[in-house]
Amino acid sequence: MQNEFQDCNSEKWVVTLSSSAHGFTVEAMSRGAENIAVDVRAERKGSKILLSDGTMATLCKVGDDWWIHHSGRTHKLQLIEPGLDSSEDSEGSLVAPMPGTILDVMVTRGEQVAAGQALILMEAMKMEHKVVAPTDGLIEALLCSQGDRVEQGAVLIELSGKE
Amino acid sequence: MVLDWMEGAERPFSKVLVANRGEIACRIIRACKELGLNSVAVHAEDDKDSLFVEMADESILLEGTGLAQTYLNGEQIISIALKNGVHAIHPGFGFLSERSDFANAVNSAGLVWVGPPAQAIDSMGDKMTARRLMRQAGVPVIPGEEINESDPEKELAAIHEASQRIGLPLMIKASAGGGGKGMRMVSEFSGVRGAAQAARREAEAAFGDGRVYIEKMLTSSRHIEIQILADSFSNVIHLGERECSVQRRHQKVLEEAPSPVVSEGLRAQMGAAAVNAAKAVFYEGAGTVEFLVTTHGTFHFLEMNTRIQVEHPITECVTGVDLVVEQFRIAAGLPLNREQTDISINGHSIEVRIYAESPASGFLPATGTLARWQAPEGPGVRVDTGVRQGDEVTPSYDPMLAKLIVHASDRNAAIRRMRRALSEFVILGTVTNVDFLQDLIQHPSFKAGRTSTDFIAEHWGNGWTEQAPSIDVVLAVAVAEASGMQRNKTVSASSESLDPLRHDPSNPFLSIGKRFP
Repeated sequence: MQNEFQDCNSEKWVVTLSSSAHGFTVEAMSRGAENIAVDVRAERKGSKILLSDGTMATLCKVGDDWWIHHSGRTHKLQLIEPGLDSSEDSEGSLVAPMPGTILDVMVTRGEQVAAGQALILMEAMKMEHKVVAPTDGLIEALLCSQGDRVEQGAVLIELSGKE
Repeated sequence: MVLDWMEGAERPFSKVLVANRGEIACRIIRACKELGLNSVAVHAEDDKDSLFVEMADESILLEGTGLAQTYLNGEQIISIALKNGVHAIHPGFGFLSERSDFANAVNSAGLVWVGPPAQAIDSMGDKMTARRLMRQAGVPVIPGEEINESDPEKELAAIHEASQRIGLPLMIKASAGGGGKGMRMVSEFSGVRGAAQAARREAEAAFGDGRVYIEKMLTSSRHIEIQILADSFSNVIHLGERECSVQRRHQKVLEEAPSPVVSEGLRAQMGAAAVNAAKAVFYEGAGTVEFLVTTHGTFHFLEMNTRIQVEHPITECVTGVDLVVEQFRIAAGLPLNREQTDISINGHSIEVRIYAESPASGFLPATGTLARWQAPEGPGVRVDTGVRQGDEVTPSYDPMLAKLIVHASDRNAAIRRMRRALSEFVILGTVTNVDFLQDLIQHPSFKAGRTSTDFIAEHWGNGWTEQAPSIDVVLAVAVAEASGMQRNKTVSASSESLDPLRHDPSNPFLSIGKRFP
């Protein structure tokens, strides 16, 4: 069986496994374009995974994300469903980096903005955060207004980039 | 029936309303249980399933939405107390804990206020008054001047003149300020005017009081605070210091006791100053006097926090004194049962604050489900939290999930213990700062005790980078996916059926069934 995952550095991993009575063995593993030779096995123990070096990992899946605690560190790997390209069509949309309240919308629809310009001021958990224009562009749509409560990842502004 | 420990108390009580939520509410409820006091939790609608509500003997819904209508609604809280036979109110920290009008209202309603007298809160809450009182009491304050001019133009001129005398860099602070609001740093004389106007405007808007004062900015200083206890009979003792230098944007991240730079002599001096500070405002209860300590070892009064502090557990660890229990004893009108000479510092304690935040993306607050929550255990480890597995982390409240506290024989042993405890802490489903804290406590400068308020900015000025996953990690994830490990479950039913021995209660290998290597 083969699965693809994306790590915190947007690096893509493809892992091919074969299973036997004594757990799983890696057939092939790659990180980006690089093939990795692996000589480890792993076995499932309830909600944990036991690796052949004797270490245990605690895992849990939330949505498409695998959360894993191993050797005192926590990681999140996103499962890439076959046939889905996650990097599609998000260009031009500016999203809320955290859930919170919109304190100020500093631009209007149709306004020309410059890269680095502050567009929206938001607040969550006593912290203020500015959403800035990543590139020069035109405000195509404003999808929030002052006082709105927004979720993390909610689209706040559509920005048309300078082609 | 008066509880045995309360015999002879002037203001006995047996039922306590906890006017707070989350971790500190749980902490206070635990003290209530130990003391035989009945506890009442009050909670907003969105907290109805929270741990502190479950832990309290009774829980009562606060009508309304938002903080102002719920946890900050003193009127509603007092009315609930009166209707439900409550005798005393403990405010915890934050929320209503430093509102003197609330303290007065509690007393006027005939209830016992578990906190300092309203007049002490006011004297310390107004920073200009506090500075004046401290100078009179012989407590060293930060070099600076209070500005007493009501005419805006004259005030700006006075600020300008004062800034010449004090020197750069300096801070312009609002007298009514706190929590970083109404505070401006000035590093050039040309910036004094603008900074003064901004600080004034911000303070005017936030506190309705624009009075400001100027303090010399003490760079690379340490933030060290002294815990005090004062009873209603003018007995005041101190319980040593807490080193709180490791901060980010004026929010404490790690605290330790004792401080690696405070000698017996300095502790005695600072302790005496803190006791004088408390006496100067006729303080009662548990309180904290904050000082800035310069690299030359001189200390200056910063402010007094007239409540229990977030980081109180480290003092409890090294002194063996339960501060929340003492708060209740003092509120009941009992005298302190310890003298200064009974207090000694035993070993070393460190606390870290576990936040739902993403250190890798500028420490932005994070939300999510605590799909898996496994707190560390074992010798010398204490976890104070208000959450448990399955809880949602929402943006409505403070992002602090837990305080992890360790206690060991000395500082190095405490650092090693913290490292072990952090590595045991499993939190899955929400991003936290646990891995960052692990790097922080292992930093050579921290290990060497070289901490100042600039510590995080100095070492992680360009941000913190999370460790990329190892091959083992990716393999474990691939195996979990391939074996169809259930979503969001602690123990999957299918895995148990795979292994018939798991159902046998007499099987001694249930938890140690390792096979590799």
